[in-house]
Amino acid sequence: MKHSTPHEEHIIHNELAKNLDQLKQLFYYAPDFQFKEITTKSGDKALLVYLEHIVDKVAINEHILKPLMYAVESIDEMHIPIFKTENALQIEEVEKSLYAGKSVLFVEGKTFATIFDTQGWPQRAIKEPQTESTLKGAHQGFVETAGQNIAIVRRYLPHRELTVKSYEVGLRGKTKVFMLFLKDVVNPEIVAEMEDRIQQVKTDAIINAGQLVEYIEDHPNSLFPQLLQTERPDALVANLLQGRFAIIVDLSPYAIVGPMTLTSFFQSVDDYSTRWVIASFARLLRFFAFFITITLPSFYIAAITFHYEILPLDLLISIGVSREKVPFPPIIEAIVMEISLEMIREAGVRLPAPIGQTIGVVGGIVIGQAAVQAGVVSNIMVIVVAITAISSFIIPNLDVSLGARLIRFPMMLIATIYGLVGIAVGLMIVFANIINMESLGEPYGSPFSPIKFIDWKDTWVRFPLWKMDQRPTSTNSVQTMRQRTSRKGRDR
Amino acid sequence: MSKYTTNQLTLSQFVIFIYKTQIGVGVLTLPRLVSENANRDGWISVILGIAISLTVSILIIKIMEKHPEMTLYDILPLYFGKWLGRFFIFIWIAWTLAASTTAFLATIFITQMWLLPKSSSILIGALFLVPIYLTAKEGVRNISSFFQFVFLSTIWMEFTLLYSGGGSQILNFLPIGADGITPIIKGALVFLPSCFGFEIALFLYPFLKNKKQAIKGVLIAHALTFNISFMLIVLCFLKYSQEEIQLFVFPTLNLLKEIQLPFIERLEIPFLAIYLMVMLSTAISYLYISLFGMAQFTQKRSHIPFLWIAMVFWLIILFSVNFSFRHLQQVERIWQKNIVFIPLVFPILLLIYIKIHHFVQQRRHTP
Repeated sequence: MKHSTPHEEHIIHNELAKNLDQLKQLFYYAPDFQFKEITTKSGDKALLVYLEHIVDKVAINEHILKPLMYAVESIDEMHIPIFKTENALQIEEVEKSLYAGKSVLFVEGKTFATIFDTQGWPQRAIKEPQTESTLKGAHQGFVETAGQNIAIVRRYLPHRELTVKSYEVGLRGKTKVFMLFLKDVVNPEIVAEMEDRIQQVKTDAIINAGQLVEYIEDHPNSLFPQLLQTERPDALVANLLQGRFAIIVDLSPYAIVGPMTLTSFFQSVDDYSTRWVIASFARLLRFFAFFITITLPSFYIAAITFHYEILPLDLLISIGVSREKVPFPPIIEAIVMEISLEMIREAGVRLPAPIGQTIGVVGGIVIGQAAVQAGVVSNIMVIVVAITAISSFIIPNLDVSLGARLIRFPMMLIATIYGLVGIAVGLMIVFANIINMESLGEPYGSPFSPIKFIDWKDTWVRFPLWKMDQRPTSTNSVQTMRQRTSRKGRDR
Repeated sequence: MSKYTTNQLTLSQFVIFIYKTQIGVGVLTLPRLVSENANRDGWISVILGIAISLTVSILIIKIMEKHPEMTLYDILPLYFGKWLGRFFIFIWIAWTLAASTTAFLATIFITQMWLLPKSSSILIGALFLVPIYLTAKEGVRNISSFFQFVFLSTIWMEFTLLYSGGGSQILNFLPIGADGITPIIKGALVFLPSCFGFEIALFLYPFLKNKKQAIKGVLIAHALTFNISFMLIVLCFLKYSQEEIQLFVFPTLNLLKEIQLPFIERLEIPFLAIYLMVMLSTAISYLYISLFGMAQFTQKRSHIPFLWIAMVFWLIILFSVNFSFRHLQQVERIWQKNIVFIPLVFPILLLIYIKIHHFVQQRRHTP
């Protein structure tokens, strides 16, 4: 019960009619506002109010109305086994609770109202995550209700050290935001800093986790994300265990994880459940793909425009034959193809699945044989575009993949002007920016620059699990030891 | 508390900062320069040169150990008083700026000569200024992180060089020491500018987290530099005769020309493009030390305004001078003969001066 000094006009009266009048005024434009005047078994007059569609009606019937009317002798005796209840003294409190999906009971002669937690809004069933599919990971994804998401996390970590802090963000939306971390592992300075940043947000409403990220990230202007957004509970829990914090945003199926480094976006949950040699190969493949995505089209342009002498003669001849009919310089050719590829991708994302197939067919024809036969682009360019597209899809994180895809356009321009020199300097610029970035005080380029060899066992490759005794240093965790000798026998 | 504790370096950052300052444009011309002076005994010159450089570096660490929280810019006024101290600071700022400018201009010249013969030097220079600005505007820690990135992404180059070793003539090394000791010493002196960069320790020492590792760091940096220089000299001498080497301007690139892969001919072109990172690192390193000095000289907190001035200064040079091969030779001569002895002789003299200073002070205090 709150003990704030009640305001004169909005105090709860002991007459039901006056309270009802006040509420009716407040909820004049809310047709879903419902009130039930009842007489309890003990003969008291009572009033139950709620907003129709965001409450659990069955629960109200079974656990509030039925006991009141037929079972309990007096209201003070009533025990509601499931719901959390609290008392309110002011109409404002009642109003706020009603909007949050609670129901409120007034009793004749009492100057307070009882609030019942009876939320029952529409919910989506737990499904497999759409954007991060894995082969061997769990097939449970987060949903739009924060409470459910926290429940899933608790199933993984039923431990007292799993701390959940809650905040309210948004002046109108009042979105509930929860920060989760392992209290004995995470660095308290990082948590405090994050808390500050969350409380600093004073906007209308947070509709998606991605919006919150933009307010609390270190470098929102960068092309690369510094906080991970994930739909996967298992990924989130793995990150908590590595010493990171997680933020679960109500109304969004994405959770935010930080502090991240660039290389940590190349990890996937699958890596830890496939055999470690194969997982290591996949890791190397991803870094290679990242590099290819950024440089391959620009390398093509540089090699054709400036440095054809680096190509062996046979290859040069076959490229020359395929470019014979093409009337454009390589940069136009490349820009046309890369832009049309991006358009196909963007169209594919927004279209519903049945029409989506059309895009595949049309795109396949345009990017494929037709463009070559018409003499608009060369065969080699088609190969370059295809390899670039495939490589960009290998990068497991969507945000990093999109960033890399965008970087290749300035790289193509710089290669047109400066050739290979442009590519080398372009890479220097990209990495100088990455190295200058920080995620919550931790260098974003870690562990490759600054070099931290101890973190390399879970970066370029994945060492066997029993070799990884320590949490990554880039999370700056307080408790660094992750496990003790966990494997018996001579492999240790 | 020292004012440099916010920007601390680990051992590996310290090592790579020095190493990346040492290795630069010099590597490309090194075999020719050494061969011109020491002939087929060039490899001995390299060993001798590294030994000299290492000795001076250790002396530098000895100087810095007396004032672990200070850079050279702080130490000089302490011993020489305000005006003389400022004069010496000015000399160091000028020297590092000159070194940086030389590295920058040489990089542009080489790029123009080998990679982009039709582009104007100002266009290339403008491109190079972007990464230089992005790194030099940061502190020591971020710069050394950047050098670590450069180190990791160019480490394959050393192994590629080994691939050129086919068809070698071991007889090229014989006879050993036929011309006496003088050419060897001459060769060592010519090799020394390629080792320059060790004097960076004069400014990096207070940033190092664990001061006890300083000597170890200098040792590792010199080992890395020795490794690449010695390997280059040996490979070049195995492959070519002395007459051939002295004909080439950049023997290292000629060595790379020998390598032909099934998918890339003329490996030296992509190699040189990526090697630009290393050459620009030298420029960035010296530039930062110079800017750092300027900020301290004028008692400003930020060095970024000076960075802009330096960049404009460079662009003006590029506008006004039309580079040719003759310029490169002139610069080479200046480096070999004149100002090069600042990093070499200055620390030794400083150490002697400090010893005398302490001695006199002790005499004064204990009558």
